[in-house]
Amino acid sequence: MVEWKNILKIFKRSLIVTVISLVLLGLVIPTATAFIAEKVDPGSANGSQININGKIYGSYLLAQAFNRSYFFQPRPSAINYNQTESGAPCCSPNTNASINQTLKNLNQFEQMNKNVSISQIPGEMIMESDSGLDPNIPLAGAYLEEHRVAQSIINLSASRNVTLTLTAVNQFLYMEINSTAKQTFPVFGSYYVNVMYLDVGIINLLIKEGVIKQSSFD
Amino acid sequence: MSSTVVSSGNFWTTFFVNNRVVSGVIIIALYLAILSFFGYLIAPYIKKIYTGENTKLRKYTDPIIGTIEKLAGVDRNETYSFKGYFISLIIFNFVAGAVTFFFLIFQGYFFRAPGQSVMSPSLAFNTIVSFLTNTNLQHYSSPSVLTYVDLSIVIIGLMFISAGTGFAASMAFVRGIMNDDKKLGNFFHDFLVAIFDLILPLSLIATVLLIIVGVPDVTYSNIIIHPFFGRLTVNIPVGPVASLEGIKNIGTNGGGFYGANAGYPFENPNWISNLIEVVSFTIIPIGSIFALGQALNNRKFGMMIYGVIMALFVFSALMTFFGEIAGIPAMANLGFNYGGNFIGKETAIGISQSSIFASGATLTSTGAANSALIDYTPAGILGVLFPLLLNDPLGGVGTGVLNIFTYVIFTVFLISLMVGKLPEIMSLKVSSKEIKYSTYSLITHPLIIIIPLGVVVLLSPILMSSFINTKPDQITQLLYEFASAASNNGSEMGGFTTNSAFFNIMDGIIILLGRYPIIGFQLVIAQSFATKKPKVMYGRTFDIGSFWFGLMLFFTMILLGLLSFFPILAVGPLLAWGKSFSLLIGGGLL
Repeated sequence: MVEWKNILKIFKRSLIVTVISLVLLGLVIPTATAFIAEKVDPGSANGSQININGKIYGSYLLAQAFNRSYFFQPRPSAINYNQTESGAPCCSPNTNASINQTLKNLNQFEQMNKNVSISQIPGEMIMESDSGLDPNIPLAGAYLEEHRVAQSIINLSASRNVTLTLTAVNQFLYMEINSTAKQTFPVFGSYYVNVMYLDVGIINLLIKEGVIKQSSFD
Repeated sequence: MSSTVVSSGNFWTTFFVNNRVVSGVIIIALYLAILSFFGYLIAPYIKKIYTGENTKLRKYTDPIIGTIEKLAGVDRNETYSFKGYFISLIIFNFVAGAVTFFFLIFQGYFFRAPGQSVMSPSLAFNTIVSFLTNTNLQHYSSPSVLTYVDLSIVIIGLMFISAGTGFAASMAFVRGIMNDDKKLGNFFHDFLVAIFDLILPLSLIATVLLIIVGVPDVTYSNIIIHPFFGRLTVNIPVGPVASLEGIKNIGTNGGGFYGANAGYPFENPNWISNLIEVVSFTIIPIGSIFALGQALNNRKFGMMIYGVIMALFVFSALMTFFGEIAGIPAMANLGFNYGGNFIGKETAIGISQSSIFASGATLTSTGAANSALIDYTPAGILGVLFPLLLNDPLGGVGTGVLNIFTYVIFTVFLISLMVGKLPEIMSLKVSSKEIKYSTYSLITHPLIIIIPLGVVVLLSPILMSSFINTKPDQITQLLYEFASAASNNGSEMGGFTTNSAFFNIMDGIIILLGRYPIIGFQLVIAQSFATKKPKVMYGRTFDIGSFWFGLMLFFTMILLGLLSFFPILAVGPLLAWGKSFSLLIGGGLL
């Protein structure tokens, strides 16, 4: 029989080991790790921030809504790209709600990208992601969007009296896409590109060519 | 189209990029090979911890362990039998739970930023219980309700404590089988050894690798950004994300920093981080299996269990993968380039790596997810669900070895009845006591799932009204919720309002019943073995390391685990599956 005195002793030991574990393993070690990480590898430890001329616009890892036709569009979001949250669509894919939502996204994509054959649209482009902030789209999707993006950039710059040739813009966009394309797994994975990188590239181009001032992105 | 990346490769490169089914199967096979390799690599190290030999790290960790023991008044040479060991385990967990519970409730008055919401007591109870027991079912949408101090002390701290407790239990269990001195050991010493020799070093390695890949790890709690075309600044919650990820996976915990868990790009930005996470939540469970064989001087036995677990792993992963890549016919008929069910999955990870992650997370008791399980197809969710029904066959840190061993004892009993030989394990006689307690531990699991399920479905139409999806999906979601709680997995499917007082407390109780009584039963078995002296081998019994025993073990697991749930599966995922593929006669009635 275990006596009460021993039980109390176990309680005392438990309390001390608990407090030491919680403070040491929970607070001290993670905070120390984070402190070192911030100093040694500031880029990735701080969340791959998008910094344009000293202003933090977000993270390359989290998609934002780019409601302009001269930007590449990220995947649809179930949380409307709310940066403080994360969330997937509510319903199983075999429900009507889910099928209707996909159909709605499909129509939206078709409307935005005229002259695209429907059978070419990859599923990722019209299905919501898990986080709602997926910054990546499949390479095939980026190529589909490229025609619209290039044309819109030309139209925009023409309206601001800047001359950009379609060939030059196309060349720039294809170079951006091809140089940032990654695979989901070496050799066996499919290719994808990061929309945030592409769009920040476009922003930098527009600022450099004098089409738009940085302040208009605020 | 001008030069594209895809067409620049040779025939095979193009073939693999375009043929997602073949590539997916290869990726899954590679994942399994890599995680097995790392498990095998760490096995001799875990074996040394099991047998009490000096590990390479002992030189550095022993002073730390010694200091903590001195502060707490623990004498490591003082060893206990079942009663003393189990009481220490329970009291320690109770104290850790109580301390963190009050911390969570009361620290709101000290550290909370203005405007941040406070957890309700039932939610705090659920959260503490679930993190204390290695379950990590999250009924809150982190990190908005937790401060930096909450996240680090309560969440990360409990992740270490629960993993250490589980591993300590397995150390006692192995000791019980190996020794015959009627003692299981000293819980506090085992706990500290598990933490400092195994769990902490591995989780630090995982953390560093994840930081390199791009997971944030900072000492502040928000990144203030000016979103494009937004007028107001927005705070993106951050904190020690990589540190949390490290112990979350190494300790098979599974509670994520963000609501979307490993599907959130900060937690899992690309395939490298995905692979690191899958390897880190399988490394200790798989290593422990090999180590068990090595510690008991029966490597064949370890290989046999590994084989059985791998068979289940392959089945679960491929079932999930094919379910997801086939998708839903109604969706595929919309006319676009479907390519599988991408709803609730991240582009950078893809279907195959989401499938292996999801099935690995439910096979171990990790419960992390890199894709939204609510958006899985019925066939896909079946592949993820069935390991939960088998009570996580690969198991969590430590508890995996215990769970498998109860299945082994039960199978030994069944076979010896069939062929008329003496039931023996490692030349230790298996008597009625061990069989009785292994049966208790096997039966507890289905009971604590089915009874609450019946209560909810039959008695509470009000609760059922909070469901968003249709009937078969509701049943799948309830089954998933309770199975996840009972097997201490913590994988969350959702689909209804889980954060209500009823579900918080109900799940909390299921989680507690799924953790401590089962560890208790298993340690009773260990104690019973600890009193037995090994006999000389006469060759009178069957070889428990053989292929045929493995086959029997496999089917016993399927029979015991799955058949108890077959009726529920039939009206849940199987019905939905048949419905979406129009396989049912009169399916229009549903």
